[in-house]
Amino acid sequence: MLPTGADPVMPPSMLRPASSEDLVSRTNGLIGLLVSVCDGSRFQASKLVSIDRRTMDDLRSVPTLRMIDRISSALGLRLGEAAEVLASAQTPRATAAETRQAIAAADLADDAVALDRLAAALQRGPQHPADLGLAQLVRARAAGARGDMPAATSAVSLALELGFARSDGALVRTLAEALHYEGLLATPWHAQRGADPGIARLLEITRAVDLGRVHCEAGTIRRAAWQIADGFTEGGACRRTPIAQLEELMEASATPTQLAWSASIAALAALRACISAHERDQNRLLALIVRAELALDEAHARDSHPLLLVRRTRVALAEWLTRAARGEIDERTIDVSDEQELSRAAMWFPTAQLPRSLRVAGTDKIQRLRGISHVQA
Amino acid sequence: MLTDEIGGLEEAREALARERLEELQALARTYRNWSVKELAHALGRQPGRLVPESGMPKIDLVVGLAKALDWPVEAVVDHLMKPASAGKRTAFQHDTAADYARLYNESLQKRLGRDYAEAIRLAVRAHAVADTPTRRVAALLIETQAHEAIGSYSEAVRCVRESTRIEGAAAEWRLYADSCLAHLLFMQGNTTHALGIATSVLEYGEKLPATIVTRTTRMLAHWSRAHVLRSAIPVDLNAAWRPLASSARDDFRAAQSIGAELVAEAGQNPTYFATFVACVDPLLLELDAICDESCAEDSVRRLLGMVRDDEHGQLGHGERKAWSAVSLSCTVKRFTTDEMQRRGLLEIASAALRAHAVATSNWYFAHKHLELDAERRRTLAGNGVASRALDAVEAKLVAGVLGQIPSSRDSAAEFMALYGAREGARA
Repeated sequence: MLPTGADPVMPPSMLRPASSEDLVSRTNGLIGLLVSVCDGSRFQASKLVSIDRRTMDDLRSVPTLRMIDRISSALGLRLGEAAEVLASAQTPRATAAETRQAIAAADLADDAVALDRLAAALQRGPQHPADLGLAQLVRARAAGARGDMPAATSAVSLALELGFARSDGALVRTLAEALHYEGLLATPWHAQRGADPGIARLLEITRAVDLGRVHCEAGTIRRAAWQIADGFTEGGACRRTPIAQLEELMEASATPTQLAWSASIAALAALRACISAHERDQNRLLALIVRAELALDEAHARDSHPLLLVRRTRVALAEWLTRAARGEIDERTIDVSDEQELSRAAMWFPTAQLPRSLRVAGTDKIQRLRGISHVQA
Repeated sequence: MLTDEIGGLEEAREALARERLEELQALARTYRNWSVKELAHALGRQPGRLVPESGMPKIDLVVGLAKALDWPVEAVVDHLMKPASAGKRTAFQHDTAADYARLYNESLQKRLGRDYAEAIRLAVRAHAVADTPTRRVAALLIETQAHEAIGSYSEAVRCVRESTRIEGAAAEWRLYADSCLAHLLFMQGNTTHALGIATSVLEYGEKLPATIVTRTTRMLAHWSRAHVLRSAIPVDLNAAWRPLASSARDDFRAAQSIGAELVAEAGQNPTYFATFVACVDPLLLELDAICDESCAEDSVRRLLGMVRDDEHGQLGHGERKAWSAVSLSCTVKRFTTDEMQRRGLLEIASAALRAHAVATSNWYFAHKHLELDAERRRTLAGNGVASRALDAVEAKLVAGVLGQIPSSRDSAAEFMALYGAREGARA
């Protein structure tokens, strides 16, 4: 069961992060601008920023922040702005097909950062008006990956207004399903219960679309897990068959991506059911949760795949919230590793409102840093 | 001695950077669940050398850290270098809550009088003495507008974001803050979020009573949404884009109509609203040409007239000329087929944008000018003609655009290659 090796679908990198060579050549570019500001005089430029001529003429190593600070001040920029200019990643021009492939991969990787960048890229260079609708849907999926369902539903409503191209039907359906099930199962920190009408309408529109073109093994397993999890409880009682089916799916998961989805969905569904389940079902649910969490932990210990970590963190947060709701948290027993887990959760899911009993030192710091980092765009 | 003091300050900065670097590295390890060794590998450093002896890291370490944290590089740099703040502004000298209205109004007057530095100072003082959440939001918003007017978009966005985080403010002011954010994000090229925010504002705004604040909010949201839709329409047109152009046109008309009502009500000093009203006409001409190609020639002629219009004194005149230049360049690229005529018209548009950008530090227009200028430089290079060296003003424009317009950084390497080359430099 434990996964090894690469997944069949990995997100193709849409970005080339700035390398050391890029950083040096762009710093030389800033120095060039500085010389222009000094009417072409390298001597004046050197004097203005107190950097010796030899360093300015022959910069070969990556500069320190101090050096960039001096150059940026002379150009009228704040240090942070100059650093962004130097570090900005290059976005190669991608075809429509490549962009859609990247979106499908980022969705499967639950990668909010990549999804946000892809939404911006779609919006900036649309090839068809319907690309604007798709951009908003991708933005909604990014918000969903951060666990921010209110932002996701608002973006979905706008996406519906803007419309989609018929050719994007399969991708739209995949993203809509992700938003629907993640909203239902995986964000217990938001008050809204039940399906969002906008997302439900989107699902209805795309119900007849054939998923063949965007299908992959991990996507199939994820979809199957969601559908089983959706029928987990019936009249307050847990059904035996879905638990067994989810366990089978975990067994059948052969790659980190497959396991990350099947195990996390199983644990999240069991946690949700725990709240209202009869006492006789509790042990079976707890066994499924423990099994799924262990599978995720073991897989992550073997392969530090980011998806395993983010799904494990989501499960951990849901578990903390479930325990808090059941009054099972004793603040005195929260140790350093618990604090780390809660801090990590607060960073991955910044809009999750933690109950007072879970606001430990680490999460307080994260709350404070959120204001500095502007992580929530 | 002054040199000792400066040396002391440098040491304090380095000590702060070292402490913050350790803090951020710990945070990155928590976020990624990494060991020290894994973090060191990700940052390309030896485990024992994660924090440089000087405390002042090299930029590649900062970039690596930002990537590990999924933070913008700017946020990491700010955290490393900014001194600790108590988070609350302290009231200036003898200012009290009773002075709020006076400080607020004076700040507005200073902004209208183009004394932006003083407008910011007064807004900060107003914020410090504001005794309700709504007053705090209002003070931050006039500070935002003064920052925007002075060309400091990053600071403007910081202020407006801070205002949206204040809990307990009146709904109309909260929505106004959102519409300001949508406008700024559009100017910075973050159109996906701008579109989402502007649309939400218009949706929720309908539920609020029509006060001067909610109507201003609606005007700004219509304006921002219209621009996002307009700017998404490519140069290579086909009929599929007409409905989008038509939607943008409806939004501009709505903004103009609300703005005209507000101008009539504003009395003595309608500058802010009048500017919006005056700027809509050229943008409508651009969209008219997209909706009906037979209008294209007339649109180009009228837009050229607006760009050349020297009727000073009319409110919003300079801004109207700049928007006319933006619309002229887009319309010419779409519809003018004669190469010589096309180049000439684009030169005129570029010159008008440059003049306005230099005069007002408007980086949106500066970016549009640089895009046109870059096209020209590429053409010249293709013809084997060496491009001339930059003058000081142009160099500042390039730096300002790259610093204040994040979307321009996609082309940072190209801009650097075009403008950062040190041709013509002398010893």
